[in-house]
Amino acid sequence: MAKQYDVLFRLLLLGDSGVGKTCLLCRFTDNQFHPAHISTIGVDFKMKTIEVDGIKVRIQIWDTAGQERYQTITKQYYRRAQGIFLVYDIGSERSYQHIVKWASDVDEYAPDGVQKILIGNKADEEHKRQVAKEQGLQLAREYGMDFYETSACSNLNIKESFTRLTELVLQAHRKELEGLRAPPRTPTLARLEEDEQQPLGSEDSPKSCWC
Amino acid sequence: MSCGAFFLHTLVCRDTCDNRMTCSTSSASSLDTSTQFQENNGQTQSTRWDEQQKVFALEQVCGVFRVDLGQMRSLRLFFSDEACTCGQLVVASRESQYKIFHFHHGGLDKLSEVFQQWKYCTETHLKDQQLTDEKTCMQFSIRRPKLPSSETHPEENTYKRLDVSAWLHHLNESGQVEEEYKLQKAIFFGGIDISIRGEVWPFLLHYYSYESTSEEREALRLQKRKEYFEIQEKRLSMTPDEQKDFWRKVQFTVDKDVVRTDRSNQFFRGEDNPNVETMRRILLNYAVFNPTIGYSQGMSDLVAPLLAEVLDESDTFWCFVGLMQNTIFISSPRDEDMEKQLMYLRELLRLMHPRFYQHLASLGEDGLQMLFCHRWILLCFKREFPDAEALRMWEACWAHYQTDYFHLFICVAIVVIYGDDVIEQQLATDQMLLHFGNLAMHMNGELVLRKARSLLYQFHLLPRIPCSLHDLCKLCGTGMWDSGFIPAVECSGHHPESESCPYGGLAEVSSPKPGSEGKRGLKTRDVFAFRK
Repeated sequence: MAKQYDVLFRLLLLGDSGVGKTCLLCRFTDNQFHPAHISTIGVDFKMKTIEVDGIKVRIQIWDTAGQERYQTITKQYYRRAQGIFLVYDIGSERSYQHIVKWASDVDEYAPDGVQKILIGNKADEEHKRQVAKEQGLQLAREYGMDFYETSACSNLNIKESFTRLTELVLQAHRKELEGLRAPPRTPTLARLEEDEQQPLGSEDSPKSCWC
Repeated sequence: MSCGAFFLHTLVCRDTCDNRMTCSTSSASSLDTSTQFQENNGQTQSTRWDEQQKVFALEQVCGVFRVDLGQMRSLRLFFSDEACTCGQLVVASRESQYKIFHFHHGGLDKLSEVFQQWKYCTETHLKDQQLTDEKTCMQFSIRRPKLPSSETHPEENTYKRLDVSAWLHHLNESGQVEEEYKLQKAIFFGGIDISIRGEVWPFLLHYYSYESTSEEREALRLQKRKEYFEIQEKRLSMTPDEQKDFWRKVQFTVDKDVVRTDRSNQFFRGEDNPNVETMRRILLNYAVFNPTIGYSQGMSDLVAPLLAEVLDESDTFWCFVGLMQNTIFISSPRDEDMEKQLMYLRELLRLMHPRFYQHLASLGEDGLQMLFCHRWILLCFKREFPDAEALRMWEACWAHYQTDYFHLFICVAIVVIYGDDVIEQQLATDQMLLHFGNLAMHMNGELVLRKARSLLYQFHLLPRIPCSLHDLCKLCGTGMWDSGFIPAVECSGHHPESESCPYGGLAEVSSPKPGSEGKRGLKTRDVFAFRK
């Protein structure tokens, strides 16, 4: 049976509590929106496979607690991320200002070459806006990041931003992925999954047959 | 149903099976999602990407999903009733996506028959030790709600739920609890009837002392109410600067959290529910009362059930204060406390479920971090079990019967009962998180509690315990070892500074080198031979 994806990436959602990280994730993976979602405690992740540039990319998106009580563990998932969403709420000046703190955490704990993207969420709540779009753009420029205003509620720019970050990660790993687009695919494609542990790798090797 | 969409296409369920499947699903009227099993005449076709997307779309629109059982990683049946007709069917795909079907009104027994007759399942299950063929990755198992007697605490079933009459029996004429140990034991085994939770919890949470008389408690309540409103007054009379600081550090997050805490609970349901505002005040006042802890996310999850049972605002506040003080795992969110909890849990697993421990160890540091159980510990299983069951667990922990760390025995019990997949399929760190995350709210809390009590009993019988777990029993007070021998404590060599271990000397007597725990490890496993 053909492998269901070519490559696997880990993306991480960071930002203050209540900016809508879990909602962004649910909208993207399940196309659902629950406004009064429970707060995230600990860490959780969801997966989705998307096709970018002819490559089937399985993305594992890690949802974190806005207020992490147990810092030791934070380092663990920062370390394993290839792409990071820095999320603020356009209706919360405070969450926007905290992006600086989140970005410095990323610098400290995430691997070099990690791709970042800035998200101003809750763009549908224009009446509550405290952060101008221009401010978002400005901050993104300072950090050299792409910027999207999104709304999990109205499904604005969700797919676009997730796809964009995935593209950036793909580009950053272009070298390792060379030849990926040329079918037939070979077992080496799962290279980036090395840390997925053996059993999965062997299960997913293309010559396996489940029929 | 809280499960991700399946990422699957064709179904290779042969016609014999298919027919039976149809009849059994129809008899199982409570199937949450309509299941449509399609026949494929055994043909295998590699479905193309866009076709998968169509299936995806269909799933999302109609709630229909198809599953190729031949491609699944595991199929597990968890019966929840004694008659074994109700329960859950848990299907896991190779990519760690889960579907969970609930059978509330029977029918699972019929499905179970079908699966058992389905040659594929049983054959591969029997042979999966020898064959290397990938088909053997398919796990099939059936869990019944009863534990074998060898895995049950001998005093199980000797206590009924603590109801009003039983509760009054524990009180003397002046309203004092006569023998607190008896009460704690009764609660540990039987739990507390919902009708008197609000009355008994304040004792468990050290708001009322067991020796207090009814009169004294009334006086205490009045005094504490006054104190509570003084705290509130302090909060309301902050200077603008203090207020700003408080808003930034505490109120901002509290406001975000209270509106998304337990809103499905009748007590907090609906727009502008005054109880939500009460919860908010309690949390804000707590942050004023204890500025060091302030507010940490998760605290709203802990206070909400208290308020819903205790009802009175000031009483709930003081119960919450007691909860925060007396539960190690909640009281101080500093890293070292969590580290300590995880260390104890690792050691307990090493003793009581060595196969699982070995799997974690084989994953290295990431595995030993046990990401999957952090939320279990932080919220005391509140997100893992429905409220009714989670609160039984809280009570069992608060009873502090023989140990202050009963929650860790509950963790081990979950792993023992629901962790087979993890070992058999050698799940990686991420997949373990997904595995247990998907089981949240779908596990049998009663079974887990019974298993946890039995594990505590087994621990209690150990002739020797590793020094790493010595502190686990230090604070337990009377009870843990008072009915028998006291176990020897041995240096297990499992701590970084083994030379400073006060039990190093003891270890030298029985074994030449500290750290050569291989031999002792074997012995310990013998003691725990009750497991399989």
